[in-house]
Amino acid sequence: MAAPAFLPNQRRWRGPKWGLAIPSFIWYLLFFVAPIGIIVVYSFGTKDSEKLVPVDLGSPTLANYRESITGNNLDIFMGTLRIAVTATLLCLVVGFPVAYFIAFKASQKWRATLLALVVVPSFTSFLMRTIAWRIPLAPNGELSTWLQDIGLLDAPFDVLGTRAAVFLAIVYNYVGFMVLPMFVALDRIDPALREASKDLGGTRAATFTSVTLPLAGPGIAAGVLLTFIPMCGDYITATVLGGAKGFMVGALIESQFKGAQNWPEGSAMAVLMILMVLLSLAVFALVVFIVKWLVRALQPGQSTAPLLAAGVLALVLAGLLAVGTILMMTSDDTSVSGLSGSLGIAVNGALVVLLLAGGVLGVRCRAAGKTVLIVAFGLLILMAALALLASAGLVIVLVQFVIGFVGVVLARVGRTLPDPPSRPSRLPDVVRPLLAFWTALTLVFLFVPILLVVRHSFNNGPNFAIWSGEYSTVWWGGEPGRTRSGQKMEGLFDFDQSGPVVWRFVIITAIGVALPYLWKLVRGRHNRLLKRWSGVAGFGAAVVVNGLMTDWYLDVFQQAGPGEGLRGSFLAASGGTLIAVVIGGLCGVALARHPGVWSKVMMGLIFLILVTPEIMDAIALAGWMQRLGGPFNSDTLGVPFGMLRLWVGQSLYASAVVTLIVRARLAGIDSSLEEAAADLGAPPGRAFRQVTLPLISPALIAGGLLSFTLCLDNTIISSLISGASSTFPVALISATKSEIKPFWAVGAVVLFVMTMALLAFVAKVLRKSGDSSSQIAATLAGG
Amino acid sequence: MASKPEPIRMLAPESFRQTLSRRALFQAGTAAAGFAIIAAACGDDEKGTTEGSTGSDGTTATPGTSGGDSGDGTLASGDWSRVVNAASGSLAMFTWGDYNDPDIVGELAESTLGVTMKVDYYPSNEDLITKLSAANGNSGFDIIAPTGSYIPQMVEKGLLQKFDKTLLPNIVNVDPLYLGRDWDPTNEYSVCKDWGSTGWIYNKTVITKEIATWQDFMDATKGEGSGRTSWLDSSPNVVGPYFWSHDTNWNTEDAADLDACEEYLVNEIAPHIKAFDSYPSTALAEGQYDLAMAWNGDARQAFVRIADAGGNPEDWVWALGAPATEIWMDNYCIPVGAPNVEGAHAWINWLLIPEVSIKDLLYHGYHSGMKNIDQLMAELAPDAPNPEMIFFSDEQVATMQTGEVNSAQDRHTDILDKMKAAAAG
Repeated sequence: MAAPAFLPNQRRWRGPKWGLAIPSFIWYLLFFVAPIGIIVVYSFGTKDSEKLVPVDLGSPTLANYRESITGNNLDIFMGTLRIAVTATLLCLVVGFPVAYFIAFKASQKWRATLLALVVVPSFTSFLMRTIAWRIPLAPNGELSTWLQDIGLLDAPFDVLGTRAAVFLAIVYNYVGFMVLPMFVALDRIDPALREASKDLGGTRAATFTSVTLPLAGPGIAAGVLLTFIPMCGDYITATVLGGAKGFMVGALIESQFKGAQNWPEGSAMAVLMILMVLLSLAVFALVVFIVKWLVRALQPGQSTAPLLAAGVLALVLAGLLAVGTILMMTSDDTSVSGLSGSLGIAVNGALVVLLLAGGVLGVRCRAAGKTVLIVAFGLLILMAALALLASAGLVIVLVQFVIGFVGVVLARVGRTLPDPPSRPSRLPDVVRPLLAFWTALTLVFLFVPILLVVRHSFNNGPNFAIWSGEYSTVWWGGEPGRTRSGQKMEGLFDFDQSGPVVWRFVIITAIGVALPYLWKLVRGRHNRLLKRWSGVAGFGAAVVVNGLMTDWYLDVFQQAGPGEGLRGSFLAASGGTLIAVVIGGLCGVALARHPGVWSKVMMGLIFLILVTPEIMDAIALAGWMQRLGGPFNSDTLGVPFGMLRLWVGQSLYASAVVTLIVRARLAGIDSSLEEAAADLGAPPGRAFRQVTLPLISPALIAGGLLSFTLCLDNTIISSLISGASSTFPVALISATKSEIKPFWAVGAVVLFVMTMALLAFVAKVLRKSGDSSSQIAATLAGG
Repeated sequence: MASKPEPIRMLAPESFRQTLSRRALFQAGTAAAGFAIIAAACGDDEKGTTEGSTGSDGTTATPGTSGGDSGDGTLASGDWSRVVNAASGSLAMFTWGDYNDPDIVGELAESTLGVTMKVDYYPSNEDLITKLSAANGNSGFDIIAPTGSYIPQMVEKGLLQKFDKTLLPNIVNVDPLYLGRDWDPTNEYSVCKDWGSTGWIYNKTVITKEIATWQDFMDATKGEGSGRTSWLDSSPNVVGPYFWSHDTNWNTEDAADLDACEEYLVNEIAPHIKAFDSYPSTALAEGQYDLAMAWNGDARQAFVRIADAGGNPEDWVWALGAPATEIWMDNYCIPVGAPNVEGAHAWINWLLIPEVSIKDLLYHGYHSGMKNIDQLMAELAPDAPNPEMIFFSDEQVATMQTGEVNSAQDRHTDILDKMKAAAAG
């Protein structure tokens, strides 16, 4: 890449390789490493409630760590792990067929739509969607009553507050994050490979196991990471529907910080939780590694020695896992259910490893054996999920054992069977309609709560979750009404007062949009500049005129809580996203184009940001921003300090995501264009602007969009640092302490519509830049 | 009054209790009348500082307000101070869930005082303190409502600012019984918002055995209510039932007592609990629980919500905790760094006007600490439903104990966490 001698390029980038990552480094040092470091230090301190920060560092101790994993605390750690592992498995079981259907079986016409339908629910307020499940599940709800009326149920539903409700909430919220990366991986598989498999006489099952599944591996891994990690730290989702059954480590940590004011122990727990996530991922990576190694070792022509070694290794691993878990749990004599539950995990773990060994045998065997093995695998995963779901006793575990054993035996038998004569299948394709049905079912599952939120925004009663039987616009801002018991019902919008604001907005924007056409009428030809920018400028002017940071919202909204929450959410998410896109974009470019030792450090940092439980960030940032003072403590240049705090707090996770997406995008494009620009004498700044920026712009837009939605849904950090600058989910979670009035549903619908408009806009931009729907999805998913 | 509660007068005549029907909850007429009362209380005065009508020359109670108004604005229940201070801008309040009449933190505050209000909620005093400490004087809130026993700790941490008493002239309307309490003897930082107690509410069609004591309550949690019971999500409240039913001091710091309590609650009770919920009224209306530990005001809300949800309030029974139970008092305070100190004073002072106070009371269902409150109620809201859930008899009050914040606080939190872990199992 040396510049030709005749064009000595004096102005090529000569700074350090990590130059573009400097903003990220500063940002993360200032708002992640430093505050979290302090919290980690706290974990060695002792509690001192006299102080404002209730920690005494006089006599460092490890007692907090000991305390964190004794007795019930250990149960909660194990329980969280169990819930997260099971829910990840469930997401995989639900999501894989959907991803497979969209990638291979759906017609080209439908693909983009289906994919959009899977993604769209993730772009609405997660809290409202989850709460909406209470509507069909309420014991006094319509569904429950109806089922009783027709005699299907003899008592009201009793799902809320059970383990099943916990899994429902989690799977519902995370399945989209599982489907997307799996789809991307499947979509990238060269169709020629699958064709070749068929042409060579492979049955459908054989093609699936020998071609599709191995190539989908990275996608599955990405899906597992994207769901498992946040699940471990998320404790709001599970409790919204699961009540006491949804108590997870995150809630325990929160209660140490808030309830007990025991920051040292809370810090120790948070550190342990990070370790737990890292350890789980290490185990996951180990399993993947072993499988890969075995597959390689079993290529035809290899000796059988590795196979034997693999068998032994699998058995040893299984044994270790079982013994370890049992030992760990028997030390706690009070918890019988914990014991049988973890026995379940242990035996399940053993079975999975055993079956992996069996599966490896199957990889070499003939088609029939493979089919059998796949069925056995499927059953096993299902049983494992069921057993964990019910945390049920030994019976289920035994059944699993039998099934697993039969699977392995059948796989071995299958190996000895002769291959069926190779001929093209004449059977009707039953897989496709089945998959289509499953996908449709999943989409219904994803959309039911959203439709219910819309319907209940028109509820003519005081409670969001209980349908009154009548439609009314009262909660939108229609004529105020009263409930049966005389409670007042008053809508979100103040239609009388909001008129001027809305008209101002519409008229100024309309002028902007109409200007180019007027120009054409008068001058007889288009002005390109005007055509491109006038509409945007009109919109901008309308925003400014209505006063971005002023009190127009007091006129528009009648309900201060959700009204201010909506405005706060949009302001906070816009700022957080802007920061994330700028620093994440620069850092992503640096990572992809100038890797070095530093990039390992940066990737480590980003990974840590992704796995740190939010409550720890929240506590750390709240204390740290207080210490920093200045604009973080008093309104500066018209920016409320609470808003500044939100921008910083929400940008952390979002910028990490943007960095990964931009890096992945650039890694897929070789650097010849940028080099050519440099060789032709373009200064670094110009080369960046004219070459790199257009290359990464789809990634920036996709990353920005993802950040925006992440920021909109951010609850835990926001609630602790925001001061009185409230956001929608923060206000909503606070409203769940009381009766949830239907105007919250109105707010959620407004949020949904606005995010959808944004999404449509972005999709249009991406379409313009020539990306196909699957490429859009690929960038969204970080590929 | 940690150990010896002072006696309180009987607050609602027995006769007038029996004539009430639960179906008459908050009839539109009553609510409209309440509205008129407040309009009257605020008079025709423009926004601005006005001398309150402490005599006959002030505001007029509107005809149609039932009760003993004498026609010229003076209530028979006494001379009242009704000063309304001007305020402007916005007020942010951080308080307990469902703790004010929506009008009083909305439209009325705007039309009467000229402030727009925004309300956020916390589930426990600890949450409040954490948020304020984390912000260290910059939480952005103007008004908070901590429980009395937590006030010394908050003063010590420098979270509260002193009142400007000249801006709170209506404090004379508060019954002296609720002023000058241990935690703030001169009311420098706090003034009574309201006080209440704890008991339970249950569906008698499901829980057929009567629940009369905390022991019955715990037995029902394990028995007919297993998997259908909620307990308060507040650590002093979850240890309460055990100590109250074992005749042990609720505020005990004795390790053996606390160990026994933990053993029983974590192993015997927790696995049967469906949820830890400080505001069960909504979930009760949705039919999620058959038995719930609840504060009296929230339990009273539950009757309204059950009716609104189409359920039958007659199926539900409320009982105050026995043989002993708690008494707590929540107080309005102004946190350090409040952006709108003047507005906060104006609003708190406005809430101390009897008509406003009673209107608020009718919503949240807790005794608001006004002087002569029984007469006041008889005059302003004779039809208030379920008064027995708001006002307690001398005998009941004598069984109520005040919580202390002492060295047992950590154990209490620990026990609640362990119960949650066991309930999740």
